[in-house]
Amino acid sequence: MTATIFHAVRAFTLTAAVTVCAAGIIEAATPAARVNAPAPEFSATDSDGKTHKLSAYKGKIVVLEWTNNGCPFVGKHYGSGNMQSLQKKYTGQGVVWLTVVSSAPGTQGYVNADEANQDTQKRGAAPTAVLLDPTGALGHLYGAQATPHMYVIDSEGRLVYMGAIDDIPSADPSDIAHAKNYVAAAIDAIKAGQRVSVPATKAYGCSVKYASAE
Amino acid sequence: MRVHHPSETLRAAALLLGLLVASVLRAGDPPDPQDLVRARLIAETSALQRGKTGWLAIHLTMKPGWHTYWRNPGDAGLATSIKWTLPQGVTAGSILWPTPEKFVTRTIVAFGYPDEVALLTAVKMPATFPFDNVAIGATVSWLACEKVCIPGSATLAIALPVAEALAPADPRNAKVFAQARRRIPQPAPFKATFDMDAEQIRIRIPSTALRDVASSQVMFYPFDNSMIEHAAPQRVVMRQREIELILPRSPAANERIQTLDGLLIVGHSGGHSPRALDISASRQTLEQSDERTR
Repeated sequence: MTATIFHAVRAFTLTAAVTVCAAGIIEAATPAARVNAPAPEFSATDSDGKTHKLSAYKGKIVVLEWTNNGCPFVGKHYGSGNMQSLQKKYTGQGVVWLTVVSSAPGTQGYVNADEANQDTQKRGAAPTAVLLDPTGALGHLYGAQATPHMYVIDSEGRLVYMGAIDDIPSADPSDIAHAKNYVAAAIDAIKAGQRVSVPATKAYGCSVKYASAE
Repeated sequence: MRVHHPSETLRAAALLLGLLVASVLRAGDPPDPQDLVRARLIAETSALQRGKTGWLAIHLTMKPGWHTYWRNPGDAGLATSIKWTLPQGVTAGSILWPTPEKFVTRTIVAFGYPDEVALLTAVKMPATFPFDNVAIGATVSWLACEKVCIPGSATLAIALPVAEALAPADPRNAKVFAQARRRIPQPAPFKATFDMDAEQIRIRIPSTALRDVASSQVMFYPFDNSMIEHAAPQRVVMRQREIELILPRSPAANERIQTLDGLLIVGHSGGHSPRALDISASRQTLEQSDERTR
């Protein structure tokens, strides 16, 4: 199952300062996702073999949630039931919640379709679908860097929030209760017809395990 | 002559099988955080002096291949944190972070420490301290990453005699403290300014600040992880009166900041150790910036 992307990718030349090895050149794609701009269109396959196009969800709020089933920060939000509560609450309000796995085969968090469905069942998750992105194309398109990395797209297809799930970067579940949840705040603002007061934050978590440079 | 009972053979076989199964299970278990990072709380001197500052350090030793994080962990990860338990009147400062290394994986940057790091902290004793000994506790929390990340923590304690006079260095720890101090960035002996727009953050320093340094040899590591795109190229422009670092701004950057703090890394590639200068750039409006370069 792969994600196919309709977009143009620009490559950067990047000088890497890695102290142990000699400096090398790394290609980096500019993510097309920008706040207050149309969210990049995509067409991606889920763990049931169905295709999801962002444009098909016009009129609905869409949440993208990058995950990795072995990451302790993801564990913080799933182990506590926090992520599942958000999923249930907002899908219950008509939000389309898409969990995305961009881990490359052989890396932590990689799941095939069956494993993805088993994970959903085991952890009592309630996303609309789980998108399988082993090539990392969808992840790079959105610039996902850490799991969990969250994106909220309004019903007009505009990206109105991207970044951390909440404002306490830690792996400690006891922080959830007194943290401000940015995803809930963004969705609630959209529904109230208000401006999203915090449109972008730095995501915290484990690095997304992308496929290495080709 | 010893007779071998069949039940003994069975028991031996069961034991061997049990050990085999246990070792296979152990191989699949996630690594024990304590195996990945060893933490110790050490003191620079053999006693602490009333009314004076002494130095402690959390010394972390990482298993080969694993690293812990700097105050700005980069695009993922988590900075090491220390929570001190101090007696009445004793205060601890914030961590003196050694210059980190920069790890780049395609589009994701990490700032951290492989092998080992000593996180120095100043401890100030009150002028009046009625006891002969001081007990200090520290709970250190870290994230150790290699291909995967494992959070860990350690609760450490140290008890030191309290002296009136300056105590001698503890020879066991001298090497660790000396190495750590060499790795701590120096405050920059010049003023830096910055301005910011929707796309870029531009830092300016006097052209005399860095002599005989190629533009490709200068980089900026911010203390705040939300300000710049860490993986994007940084452009350095050498002008007659100023050196300008042009940094791609992160969408998460706070537009209202008036100060931008971080490290100017000079000579980051080329074999020898880079120099790190601690700068605190103050904000200028674009008009002020234009004036200065005219």
